[in-house]
Amino acid sequence: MTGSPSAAASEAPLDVQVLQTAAALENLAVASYTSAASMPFVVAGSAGLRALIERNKAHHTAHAQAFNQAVVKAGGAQQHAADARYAASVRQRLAAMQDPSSLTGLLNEIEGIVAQTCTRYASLAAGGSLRSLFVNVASVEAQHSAELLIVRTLLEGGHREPGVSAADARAMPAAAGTAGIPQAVYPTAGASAINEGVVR
Amino acid sequence: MSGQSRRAFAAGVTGLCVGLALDACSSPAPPSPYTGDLRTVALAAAIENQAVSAYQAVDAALRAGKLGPAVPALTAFIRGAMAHHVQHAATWNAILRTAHKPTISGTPLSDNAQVMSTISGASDVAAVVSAVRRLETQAAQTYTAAIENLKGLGSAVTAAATIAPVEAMHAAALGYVFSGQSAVADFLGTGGAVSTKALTA
Repeated sequence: MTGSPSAAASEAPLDVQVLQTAAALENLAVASYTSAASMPFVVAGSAGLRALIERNKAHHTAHAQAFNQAVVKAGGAQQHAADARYAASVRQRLAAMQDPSSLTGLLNEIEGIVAQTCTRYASLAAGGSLRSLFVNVASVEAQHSAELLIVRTLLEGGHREPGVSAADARAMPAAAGTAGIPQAVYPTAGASAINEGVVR
Repeated sequence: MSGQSRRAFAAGVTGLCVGLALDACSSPAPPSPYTGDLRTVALAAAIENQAVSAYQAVDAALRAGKLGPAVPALTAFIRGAMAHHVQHAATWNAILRTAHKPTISGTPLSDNAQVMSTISGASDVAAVVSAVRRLETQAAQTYTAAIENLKGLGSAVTAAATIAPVEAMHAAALGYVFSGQSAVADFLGTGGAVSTKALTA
């Protein structure tokens, strides 16, 4: 990921800034999953990956709505644009995407940015309900990451998707067991600056 | 001492012992050393210890062949997840230690016997995965709910925020790899959060 946040500091209250930035990142995720869903290798590929992409897109749409509802309550304007720091570079990378493994890698990067940002903001937000909303959403994005990491590991190892039977579980490689749980403490180093996605 | 005197003495001692025992039984439990935010922290440490115990039991069952042939991905998952929970317990206990409160070394939770019984009674992979997945979801939801009510303990807020997503990932990975079905919902929710009333310490 490239680019840097705008240097212009917003005068908006902290809660408004973090909610608008969170909404901007969710909008970025919705746009990315929308593009991913229409890629030829996705349309013609695994039904499991298609379902994951559609489901995650719906989740990010719901999260953007939740943040925009909260920002109105906090006295701010809704943010309907995609995060400007990442939008152009993500668009370029999506346009060049040729295979499911690379795609799941990029989608996982986006999930990580949103989840780390929400995790960081949970410690910054003033109100308890807002803190809880951020952890709630961060946890779901982290779950998206877990599944994307597993899918990518299986794709790169030439393994088939997980199945429902005990024999299917036994056939999973050991790497699938750890791929989705890479860290003991969720990081925040990749969190966006609080004013990165403010409405200007 | 005559035989009669001995009997009277013995009866008196017995009565005293019974009296003491009854008194001990009817005495109220000592007050918990954990109040306010620190009660939530102690609950979290107990939840983490319970997860470690649960995974140890599953690991033992796998090694003993109680769950059928080997499941390499589950063995690898358990190793990774158990290490995470050990670290999480240490994080919560460090907060207690800083506050000069006793650390939680066991699993003082009202549902612990039932949880461990469910795991020890399981005879297949699906049953144990379901049991530990429930624990992971409960942990993530507990921290998501707790962060709303933590008053002034910044270290606890940070711990809840950075540990909840990890437990959520554990739950998602278990569901996806071992049942072939994703059960990730649009919001994590807090309906399964464990109350501080479940803490017996």
